[in-house]
Amino acid sequence: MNRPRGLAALLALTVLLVAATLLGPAPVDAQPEIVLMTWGGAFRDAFEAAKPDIEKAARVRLTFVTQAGAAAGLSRLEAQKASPQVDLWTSIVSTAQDGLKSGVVEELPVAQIPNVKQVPDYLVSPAGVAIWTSLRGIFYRSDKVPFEIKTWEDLWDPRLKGLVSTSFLLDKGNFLIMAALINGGSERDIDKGFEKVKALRPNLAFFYKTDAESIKFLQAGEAAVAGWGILPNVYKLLGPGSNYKFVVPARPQFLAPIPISLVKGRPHRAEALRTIDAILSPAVQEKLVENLGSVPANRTASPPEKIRSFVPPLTGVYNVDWDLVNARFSEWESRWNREVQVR
Amino acid sequence: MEPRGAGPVAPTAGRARRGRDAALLTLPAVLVLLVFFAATATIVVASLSVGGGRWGLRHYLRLCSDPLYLGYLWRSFRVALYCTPITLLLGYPVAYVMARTTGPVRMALTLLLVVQFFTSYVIRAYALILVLGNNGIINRTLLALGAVDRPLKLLYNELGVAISLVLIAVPFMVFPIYGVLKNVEPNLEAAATSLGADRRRVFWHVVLPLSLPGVLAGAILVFLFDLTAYIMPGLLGGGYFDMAANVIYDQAMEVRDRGFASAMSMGLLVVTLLMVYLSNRWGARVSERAGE
Repeated sequence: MNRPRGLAALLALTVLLVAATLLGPAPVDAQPEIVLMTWGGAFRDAFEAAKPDIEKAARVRLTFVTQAGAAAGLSRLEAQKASPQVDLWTSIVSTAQDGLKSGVVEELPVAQIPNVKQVPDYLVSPAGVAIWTSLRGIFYRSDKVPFEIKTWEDLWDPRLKGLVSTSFLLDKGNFLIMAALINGGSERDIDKGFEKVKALRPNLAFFYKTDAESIKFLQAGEAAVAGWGILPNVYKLLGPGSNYKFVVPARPQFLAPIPISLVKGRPHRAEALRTIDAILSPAVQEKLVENLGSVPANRTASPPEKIRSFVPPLTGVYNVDWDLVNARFSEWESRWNREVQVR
Repeated sequence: MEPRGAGPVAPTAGRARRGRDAALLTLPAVLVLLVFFAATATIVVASLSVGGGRWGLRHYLRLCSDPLYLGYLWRSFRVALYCTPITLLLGYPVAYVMARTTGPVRMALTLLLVVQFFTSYVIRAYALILVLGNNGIINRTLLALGAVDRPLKLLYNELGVAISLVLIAVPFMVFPIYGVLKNVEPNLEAAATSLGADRRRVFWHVVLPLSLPGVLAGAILVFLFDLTAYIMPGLLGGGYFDMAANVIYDQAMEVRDRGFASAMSMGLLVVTLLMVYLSNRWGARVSERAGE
């Protein structure tokens, strides 16, 4: 074969293949597609289980995109700002606020979402409406810990020398804020937190950056306690006869509302709002929290029976000032690396 | 000679066609390079942006004046500097055996390296936890034998990160050296031996000099891999031994200080380019000497 002709044919074939892939066959399903970005693992599984109900109620075709973490999700949205590929995004409050500030999510038109009326006011913000609240606490292995952990202070018990792991980055320094609170400070007086965490150093085995890491390390027996645990991720490991325990200390308690935000600049805005409304409906709420061990945002929906056995009355919930945390986080992170995460 | 299927072609037309072919063939590489340079340019711009549409060197000044962050760059450099020769010591014999054997031995070694090479870093990291961890095979064996009374600290420190980097980087060292060694005539070794050289002399004066291009290529690959390591220090350093890439990620994604993360990235890039330049110069000098 003549070489230039061969090359031209090869190029033409490549162009044809690329065009065929890009253009593809027209979708058979006429329902508009709504792309929801959320976490993998238990979160994705919970959404997959509720997907048929959401699709039916919202008259949409729901697809998922996985994010490694809320911050990674926000970075992706910022990178796609000129041409967003996601309609809805679940995150944590501090990151959703960052998303609103950076202009990738729009102020939520709550009046257009009827089920928002069933959500307590403190779970609704311009950056998004909470779709559930997830509990934070201590996750540990009862076969490796010589006593029953009940309070945050128990993490400082000398019997846990070298057995505790924790995280600064997870939930944006919430562990540090907890330490400040039990030492008489708060996010406004974070020195108390650093003082308290430094006293924990003999017990610390290592630090994790994601909740998935914390679970893997506990399963491998590298630590006995994850000092900052996220209930939905470990929910399936809990139960009668299990060596895995999750404790929600009585005071201070931390509930992480998981907001869903509306991404700016997508074509199916009305359908996206309908999807939020469907997610907030009692039936879908109960299905979601059943798989996550979370508290539904809709006050007419019931939390799963199983969590009632290990969740005390939520009377000591502390509301973190995330605006202040966002403003000081860089300074705290640098200080944490200098003073805590060193040997 | 006339091209088949075509009439007589003038030399200028042939040259033009060859030029067009070359342009078409290099187009993908040019596109890749353009994307790379565009990404690098974005990082440069971000590192110089100090907010509010203003420009300055604030992020670089912070990097240069803060021992914490300079320390992370130095740590990455230091670890890469000593892990590379250790990887060479482990990788060279493997490459030599692969080059001088045939059949099942070569096949087994190749398979072992390829499987390791194509296994996800995260899976390899968790596999290493099962070997080196407090509850890992090594510690459990030592405890069972009574050799130690508490688990050795093989992870969540510099030692754990260094061990993992060396083990993971071995294929990067072996394949370039193997590629060169398999083209070195075994007869040269036989000739040197027949002239009275013992095995050590043959290795130092014949095999090693001829394999230096492979050693250099492997060393550069391993050094850069170690310098920019992210997953191994992230998972096996336990937060006590983060390296530059971990800090860059945290600054960009968690702290959301893209300017500072970009300045640190540029710092790492400068070290990388400097090392590539120096090794190229060294490589050229070695080749010249070999030519003499």
